[in-house]
Amino acid sequence: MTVYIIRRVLQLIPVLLGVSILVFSLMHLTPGNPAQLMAGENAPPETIEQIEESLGLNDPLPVQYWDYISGVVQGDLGTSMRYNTPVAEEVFPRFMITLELSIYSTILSIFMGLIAGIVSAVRQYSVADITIMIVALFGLSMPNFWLGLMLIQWFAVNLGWFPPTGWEGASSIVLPVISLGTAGAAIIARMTRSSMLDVISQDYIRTARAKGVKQRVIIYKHALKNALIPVVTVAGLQFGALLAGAVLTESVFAINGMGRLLVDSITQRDFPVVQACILIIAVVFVLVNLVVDISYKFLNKRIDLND
Amino acid sequence: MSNQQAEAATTQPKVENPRVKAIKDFYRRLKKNVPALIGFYTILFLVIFAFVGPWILQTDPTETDVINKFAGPSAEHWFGTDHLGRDIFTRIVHGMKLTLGIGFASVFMGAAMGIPIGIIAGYYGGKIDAVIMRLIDILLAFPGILLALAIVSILGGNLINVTIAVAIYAVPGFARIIRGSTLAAKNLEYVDAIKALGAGDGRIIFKHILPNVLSPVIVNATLYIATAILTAAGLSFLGMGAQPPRPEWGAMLNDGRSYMRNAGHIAFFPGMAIVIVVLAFNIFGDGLRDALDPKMKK
Repeated sequence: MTVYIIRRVLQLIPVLLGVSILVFSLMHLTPGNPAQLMAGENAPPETIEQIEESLGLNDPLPVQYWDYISGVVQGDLGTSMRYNTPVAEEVFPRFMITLELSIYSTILSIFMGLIAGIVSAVRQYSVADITIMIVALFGLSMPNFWLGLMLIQWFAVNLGWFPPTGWEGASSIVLPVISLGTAGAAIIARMTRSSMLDVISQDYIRTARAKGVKQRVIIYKHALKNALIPVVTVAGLQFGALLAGAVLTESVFAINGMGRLLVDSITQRDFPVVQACILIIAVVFVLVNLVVDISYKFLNKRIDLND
Repeated sequence: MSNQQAEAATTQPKVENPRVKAIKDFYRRLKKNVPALIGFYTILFLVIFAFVGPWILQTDPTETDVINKFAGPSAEHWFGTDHLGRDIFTRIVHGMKLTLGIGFASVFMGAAMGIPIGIIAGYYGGKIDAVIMRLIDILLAFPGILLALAIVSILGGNLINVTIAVAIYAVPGFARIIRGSTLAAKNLEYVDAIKALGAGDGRIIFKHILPNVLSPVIVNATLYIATAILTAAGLSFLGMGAQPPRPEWGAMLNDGRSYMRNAGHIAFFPGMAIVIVVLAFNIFGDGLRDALDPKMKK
């Protein structure tokens, strides 16, 4: 087990390196001179030269990358071109909001998805199953930003139950979390159903049935435990998708999270901030996947020993 | 049984082309999947309608009518009008071509890049495989819309760049699936046999591996069109895709969001249109997967 964890952590290094190189190249692939962008269109050439010098833009690329990455490791994500403040200061508080939104949405997805998936599988081809699967297909096919707008229309504007925008207080988080979490719930429900059906048709479940074990015990004790394994992986992937999907939800609900910061910075060509946001989401996603992989192995192992 | 039929059965032993048989077999199984058929015919209808619709309507999607702005749905304006008094139904019909075009084009481009990469990784294995798969891992580290967003931030926001961004975002998915299928196909005994007979790599790949990996490609491509349409609409919604006055559905949603309080229909109908198209591709893709899955063969 320890060997496995160490090996997985070591495998992360080239991926993280690659991610950082890709994010670093963002600024260099963009047409136009970053120093020019910073100084403004009518800046005198001396100012531009000065900025180029201070940003180290005249150094060879590998040197620039080294400067960038050694800064990042020490928590220095560069300076925002728009606000002229350290990027880390700008990004961190907003990252916390996005993280919160994503965690709540993931919890909602898992909770709703699991219940719906189990009901569907246990009562295969019943009215409940068919209804759940149709709803899940819709959930999967809906753009989360449109769902968000519709929720605002119905529950904030027409009924006045929740505030239409913002991220303050318990009532304001309900609509964004539903808007962001629905697609994930649909995906997890479908995964849980097919995984449960797979497990239920296996020999050991038939044996348990033949022994006279109660249906409830079979479902929750024997089947669900094994059916959860692929669901865990999907839930991990979903978390990443939600972190990125928050870009759209935050825009709809005017939440001042990192997603909105990312979009604003792209529009204003504030590349250090863009780089930081993309880098943070990718690294968090990679780390979450690592945890998921390890817990997957852990779940698997226990099952190997017990069954 | 009539004489003629009996004669036909005895004198002409059926030697069917295996590929034709496979297609017939596939169609027989697809026909049993009613939702998949509904999905298929919906897509067919939408594609035809995307081309014929604007021609039937004969109305201009950019024509403004300031007196009638924010009008709700009526006999004259089925889906109402937007903030500039443009007819929303007309705009949706005209936008269909854009939405389907982005979906098909980006998936086609993504598959065209991803398939060779996956086949090379799976077929040659070893170091080539290791390098390719690590690069794919790096691309997969950017979840959801993020990779497309990053690419658009470099290229700049317009419809062609959105299509390219969504295509690149599709590459790792295709490459991974194809690599897996190639690995399985490569180890089939008959591939060893033709190799022993002296067939070159190119011949083996194109004549024997490629046909074997096509069914996961088709399923993946169909489901991916759904994701591509959602992603592209999302980028346009953020103002990084189609620019006004193009009747792209995501951009129309973006127009409508400012008027949710008194004219919710402006955002409702384009969103509904996206849901229907994406739903059709999802249902059809699910059905295809069931029909092409060898485990489901009866």
